[in-house]
Amino acid sequence: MIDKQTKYDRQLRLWANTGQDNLERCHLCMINADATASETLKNLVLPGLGKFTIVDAGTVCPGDLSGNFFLTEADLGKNRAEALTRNLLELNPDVEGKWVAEQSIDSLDAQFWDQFDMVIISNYVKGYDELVQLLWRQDIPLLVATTMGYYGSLHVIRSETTVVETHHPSQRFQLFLDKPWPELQQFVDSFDLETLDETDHAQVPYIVIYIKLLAQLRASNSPIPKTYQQKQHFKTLIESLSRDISQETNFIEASSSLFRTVLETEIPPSVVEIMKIASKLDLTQTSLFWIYVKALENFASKNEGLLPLPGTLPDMASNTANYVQLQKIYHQKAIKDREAFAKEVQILSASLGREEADDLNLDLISSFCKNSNLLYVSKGSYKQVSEQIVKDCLVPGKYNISAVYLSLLNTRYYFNIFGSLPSIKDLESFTQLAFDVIFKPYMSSISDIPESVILTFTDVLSHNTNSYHNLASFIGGITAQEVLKIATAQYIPLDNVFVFDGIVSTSQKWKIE
Amino acid sequence: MVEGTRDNGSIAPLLEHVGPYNEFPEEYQLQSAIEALKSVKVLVVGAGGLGCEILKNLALTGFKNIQVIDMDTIDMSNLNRQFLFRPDDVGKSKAEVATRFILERIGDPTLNIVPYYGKIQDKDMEYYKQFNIVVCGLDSVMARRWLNATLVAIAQKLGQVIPLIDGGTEGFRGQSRVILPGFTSCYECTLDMVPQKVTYPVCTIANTPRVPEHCIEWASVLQWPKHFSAHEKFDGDNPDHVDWLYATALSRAKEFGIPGVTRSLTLGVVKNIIPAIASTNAIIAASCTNEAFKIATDANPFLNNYMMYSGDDSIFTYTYAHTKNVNCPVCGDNFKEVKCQRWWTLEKFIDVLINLQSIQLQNPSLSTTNGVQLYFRAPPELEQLTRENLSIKLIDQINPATEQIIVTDPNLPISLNVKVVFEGPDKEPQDINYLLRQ
Repeated sequence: MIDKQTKYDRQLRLWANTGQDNLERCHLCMINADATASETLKNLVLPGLGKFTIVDAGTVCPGDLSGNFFLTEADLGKNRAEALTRNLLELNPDVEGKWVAEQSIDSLDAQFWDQFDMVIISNYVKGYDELVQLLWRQDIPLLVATTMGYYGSLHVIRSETTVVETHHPSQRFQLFLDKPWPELQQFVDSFDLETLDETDHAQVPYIVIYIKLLAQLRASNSPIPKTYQQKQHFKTLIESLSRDISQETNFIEASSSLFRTVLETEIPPSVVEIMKIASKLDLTQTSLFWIYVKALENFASKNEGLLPLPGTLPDMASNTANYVQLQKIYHQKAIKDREAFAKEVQILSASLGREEADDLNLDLISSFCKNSNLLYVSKGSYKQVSEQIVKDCLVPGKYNISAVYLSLLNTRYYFNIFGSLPSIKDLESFTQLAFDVIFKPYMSSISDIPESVILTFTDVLSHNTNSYHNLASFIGGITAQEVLKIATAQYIPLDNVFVFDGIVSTSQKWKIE
Repeated sequence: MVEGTRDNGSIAPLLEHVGPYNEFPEEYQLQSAIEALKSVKVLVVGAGGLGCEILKNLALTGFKNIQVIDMDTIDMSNLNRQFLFRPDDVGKSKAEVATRFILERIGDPTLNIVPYYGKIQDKDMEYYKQFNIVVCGLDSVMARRWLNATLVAIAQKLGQVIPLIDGGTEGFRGQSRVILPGFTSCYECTLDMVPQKVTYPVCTIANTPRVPEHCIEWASVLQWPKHFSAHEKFDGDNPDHVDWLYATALSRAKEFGIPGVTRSLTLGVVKNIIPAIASTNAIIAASCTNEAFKIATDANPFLNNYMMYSGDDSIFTYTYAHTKNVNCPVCGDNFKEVKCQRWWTLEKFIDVLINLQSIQLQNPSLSTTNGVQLYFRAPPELEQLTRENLSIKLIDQINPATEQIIVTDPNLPISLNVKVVFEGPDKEPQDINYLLRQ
């Protein structure tokens, strides 16, 4: 038996055991067993995805081996989904895998899809539009990965995305410096900067320095420093308190850390927006996230409009005793806020008649309080094209990456009608189709597709392989990253279309509303 | 085009039709592209997270002549991403196991992969010059600098330009780049973009620990050498060593009331562990081998010259042409300027050099352009002879107007020219606080 902590060490440092538990509960469906599907699944089986099911009715033929590392000569003649499942399972005994040899996905009913937490379509499938609608109605996230020649795209179709543990790269700290609570104020007051000896003066944590200075500003009716000028002025105030600004590390740090620590404590506009959404919802019909958001609003209204204190403290020059004491004060306040928040959840949950055991789960509550100022929400769409993308495509010029996305999309339309991939011989009918179903509906005044777009069409149709391994592996990597983010419920997923151009190695993304 | 069971079906359309973005369509020929894939010799440096992917990608896109170098053996913590290895392979050579697996899986008698289990520094210019493309998936800055300098030297001395395609990942992020030695910026040009390792002041570790990392550093930097003899070096792969360090750090943390010391954090700090997942490696390796494919076949233009990738906040890439650094000690012909306080001794100056972001050395030896040996680490006789210079002020040992310092390091196949600019007082300023405390 291999110790999971050792085997998964390098990824647990990204999403911890909570993320890993979520990943191990996830059941994923992969439609088609081609190169992009193999690469996507490889990247998910290795980190220990719970379970996958591959749907493909095809038989492994010599052509399938060319760009697919997880199909072998011994698999020739067998069902593709079966062969791929077996070869992938060999990578990690913790993962469960199944396969379904279904000719047409139309014959799979709602009950079949209901077992999945996520569905991926690798490249093209008949009955695409119907499946998109069905999964949208059942609220199952769908990822559509496409590769063609040197190009690839990923589309995430999901009605709603909510993330608590966003791992936001912002280095800002919520320290409530302008709203010190009694215990913190008492600690600050215990320092008399003028009477401290040289050693102690150079060990005063910068939080104390800030709070003292902010109190001075308040006394003179000056605002908390916000503009660059105000911050520069605050800097001079810090330096004037120091006995020697070239020597006292704590004052040097106070001066350099000011921009990421001295902030007005308020509810960030993004969270205010999220609260507005919550107030319009019927909370008896929502996920726990929205119950928490509503409880957060109730908490704030009883706490001078403040969110719960996250309680994490940056390291700062100080002796051990002062720092540890300060850490305790922040930690205790964070616990107090968390308990008050939990109380709001309990009241709300009871008033809604919810009987969900998870509502008061301590880990969930703690994580929500810690991240309450960084929450992320996004509404999705099942549409495949937007006016913006079409407009981008019509900007005069030699080349535009939006034309790559429209080429891949048009390939899907072409496949739906003709049942096969277009080649360069089909350029005329391909272009006509794009004109009719993509350009005309958005730009009724258009008479011709620009030459630059035809050039991209030409490239796509000339290089009509969707198993060029480098692109399959690239898009497989991108798709797996998005699955990991959605499955672990951590980090911010793609919202919602991404395109990669492997000729010039650039990418672009759009949000289709 | 069929050869073996795995035919070229997946790449045939890319080769058979010249696309509209090919910059030299008149010169492109299908037959020479096919020949190129068969004859081009590719060196893969590193058979780890990126290396496994790179080998697979090359083998599946028509390359037939591959060599792979890696000095590492397989560890349990590799298995979450290095998909050519299984639990039974732990302890074996990465290069050898990876080669065996790929050959077996691809089953193509014309595919030739040669592994080398050892260091890149074991091989010389004669060895490296046989390759047409080098694809590099390393996690070591020093190894990359060495390889980069070797390929630049081959370009300068032999006029042979071997493209170096370099990939790197960390968590959900990574980058890939194409270096044409002599033409584009080289690895050394961008050295200051390498993130610096977090370090903690010794006085904090010794006297005023505040965070768990301080306690772990106390155990590893200050306590380990006290409790173990000089020849028993700490080994992060030895669980007994890690347990001792963890226990020592934990007791330090308890004494000071510092929460948060765990075994996992201890390992992370002492081994400087970088988070790694299969998907990021797949993305970056695929980008690297896609460039290799285009370079080998001339089927399309290749990356000019740097792509950054980030997947932790939606998906973001940034592609740009990084310009050559004219002061690059490897591909430029200028020197580096380093400021030196007039009162600094040679020892203090060396210490500053080692930690300078733009220089980053481990064991530098210094001499002047007039041939005076300032300090040499080896051989022992020379070390003995030059050791006394360490305590002498640098300003008393060189004339900045007429000489520069030549810095060499066993980890670099080149020497750096450093021009010293003296500034500041002649005498060390006295720390007032220090005096008052006495």
